[in-house]
Amino acid sequence: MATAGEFVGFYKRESRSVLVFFARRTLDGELALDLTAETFAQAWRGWPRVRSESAEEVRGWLFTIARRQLSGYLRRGRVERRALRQLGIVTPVLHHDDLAEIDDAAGLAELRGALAIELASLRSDQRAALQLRVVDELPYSVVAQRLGVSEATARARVSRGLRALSRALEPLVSVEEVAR
Amino acid sequence: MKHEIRVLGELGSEFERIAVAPLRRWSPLQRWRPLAVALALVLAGSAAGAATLVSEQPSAPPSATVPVPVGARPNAADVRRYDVTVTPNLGGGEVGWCLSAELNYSDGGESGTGTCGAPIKGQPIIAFASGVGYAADAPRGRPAGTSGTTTTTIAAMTTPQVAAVRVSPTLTLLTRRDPALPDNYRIAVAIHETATRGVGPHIFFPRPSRGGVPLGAIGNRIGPGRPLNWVALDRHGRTIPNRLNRAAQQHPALAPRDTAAYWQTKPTQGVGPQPKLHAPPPAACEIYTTALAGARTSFGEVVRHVHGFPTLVSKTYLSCAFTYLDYHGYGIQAAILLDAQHPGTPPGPLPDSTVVRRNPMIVNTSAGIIGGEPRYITARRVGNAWLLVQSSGPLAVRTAALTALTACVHITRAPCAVHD
Repeated sequence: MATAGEFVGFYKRESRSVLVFFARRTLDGELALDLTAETFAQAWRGWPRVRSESAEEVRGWLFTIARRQLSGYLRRGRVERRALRQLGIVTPVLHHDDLAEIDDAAGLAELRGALAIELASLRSDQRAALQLRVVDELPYSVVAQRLGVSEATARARVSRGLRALSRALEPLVSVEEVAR
Repeated sequence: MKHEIRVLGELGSEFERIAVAPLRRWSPLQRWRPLAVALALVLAGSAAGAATLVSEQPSAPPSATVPVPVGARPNAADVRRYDVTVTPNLGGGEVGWCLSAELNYSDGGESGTGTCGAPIKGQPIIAFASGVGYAADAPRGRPAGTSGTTTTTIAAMTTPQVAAVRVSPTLTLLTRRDPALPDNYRIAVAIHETATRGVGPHIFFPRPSRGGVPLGAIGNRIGPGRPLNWVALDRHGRTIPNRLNRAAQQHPALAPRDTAAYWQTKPTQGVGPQPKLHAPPPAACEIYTTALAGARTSFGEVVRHVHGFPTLVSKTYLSCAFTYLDYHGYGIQAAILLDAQHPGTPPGPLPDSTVVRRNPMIVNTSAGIIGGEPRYITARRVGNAWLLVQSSGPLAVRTAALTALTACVHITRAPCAVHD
């Protein structure tokens, strides 16, 4: 059985990759951090059952959780926080310089440029929501205000837009896994 | 070389914190571990067994049912459930949010505390609640009142920049996000129960100690009348100053308000000034109850001329009409909410609200627990305003009342002519 101390080391090794994985698929640093936190919270709960000696296998297990989190978010439009709540984990407050740091680590600037071209293929409501949130990087409250919808609706439109774009984005976002 | 991403380091500290505890499958009890540990340690009379040392304490969840710690003595004064709730301020002319904390005890008793405030520039804490209560045991063989439980309640809703709230030299609460809060505001909650000797109330906080503070340790007594000192901290632990209020450490949250006229249908009984108005006067916002059969209005407040508060730093509401009425035995508070910054523009969605099934134009949201009963806000849009009812009555009653009520909103001085 893996020890608690090993989990801390595992987190230190893998958290950056997981954050970049989410950031390049959601183009949203805040969302990426939330998804990373929940992924590791779920991994922590499953940690006592980890038996493998192979670091690659354990990493694969972690990214399976991460992919499940991502698909859950794209389906529901909100981040699952059950494990975080159960463990009483507080997600850090993000500031502008943190977002810039995540953008930089994930190379989001060029990805946003590529996304702007793909936006044309979307429905107009999703395109407007993605343009405001992902390309213009406005907070959801402002996106909702500009679109004249509730914040929940704005979030849902962004997640649906990202889902629609995920196939087009996949060749771009896979870069970090190859380059790693 | 890749540099470390700061927030990942901060998140990693959280995992290090939970990794100190022995690995085990999660159980519902673990959710309330801080409080359970506090009670267990205090009741054991010693903090020597504290395994987790922390200098800052994570916020408790906004609501929780508290399990009875293993081996604890039953005490009628033990908190069994608490709920910290944030709702729009419905009082006529009021702006912003109210935070309330309600505690339910083993013997069925309740207590509550809370304040209201608004997102004003330079005010990092928007609303807060603090309270201290003491209940005596009646231990066998000893005179009543020689021992008991002191319960300290601390809760604050803050702007997103506030990472922690310090309330005493030995207690700093980390804030947390909560989906029920508007505008990414954060919340910090602590409910401390301490077994005490002698009469209270006194506020107890853990003693400072090298390497951290054991959660729930019997601590320093801050005597009666000594207030908490509220200080908002950023993620670097630096003070975020309150630029509005010299007494901010004692009362950190203020709100502007618009002038409102009070009315009351019946004369006040006993001594005291009589209300000048016995019916709502013509005003910028009017609520009509004539179509609600069986409703009896009692009192209310209306804003005659709406001004708005453009200097608020995020969206919130201005209540421009409030009416309390009795509807078939249910107490109902009705109100009209405008966008407080720019009255006449659409107000934001009600936080954490959901559409009522089979009534797509009506939304519903929790308004906390009052007197042991869950209370809800049910609302519909009337032009660029919300018309709402708040009540502990069932959804059918709230929906019926809301549908039958009509309202008129005019920001200009033109008289109300069209009713929605």
